[in-house]
Amino acid sequence: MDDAGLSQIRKITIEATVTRADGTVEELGVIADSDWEKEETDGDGSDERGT
Amino acid sequence: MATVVTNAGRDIVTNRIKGTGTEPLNIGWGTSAGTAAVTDTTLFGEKLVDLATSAGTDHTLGTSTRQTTTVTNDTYQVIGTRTATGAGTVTNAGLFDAASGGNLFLKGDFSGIGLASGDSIAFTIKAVFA
Repeated sequence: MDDAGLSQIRKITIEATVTRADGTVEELGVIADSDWEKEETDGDGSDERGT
Repeated sequence: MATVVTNAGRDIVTNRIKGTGTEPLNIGWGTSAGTAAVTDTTLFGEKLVDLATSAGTDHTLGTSTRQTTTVTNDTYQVIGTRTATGAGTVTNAGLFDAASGGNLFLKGDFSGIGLASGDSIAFTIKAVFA
């Protein structure tokens, strides 16, 4: 929640676990991450988020 | 690489707040390269579960829940597993509001995941409000 009391979708993540045909499981964890919170603090303060 | 709620996704959210529209809990995947953008309406090279065939949509119905990341129920989560019936490399995935076709709610691209026939990916997709 920001100072204005407004909410928005702040972060998106996609996690994946691959299961091979032979039963082998590969936990890939987070494979895609919007990382908006990081982007908000690493530049000029502008809102670079995707929404 | 990027992960975004699309412009069409905003349309879905406002529609759902009004109690209309269809929940975007259908998972699709694609095999082409690209960086996700908010203006996207499709995946990059969307494929059927048979990754070796031509393009198509046969989304996998996921299971949606509300989860808690920071405050109670601030996270929309969809989980679902797609099993490849033909080999290919998955490069992006997203959520749609229909079992086939439909509107793209969110999308992410990632390092390719090579799948052989019979391999599967269990996706957990989260959108966090804050």
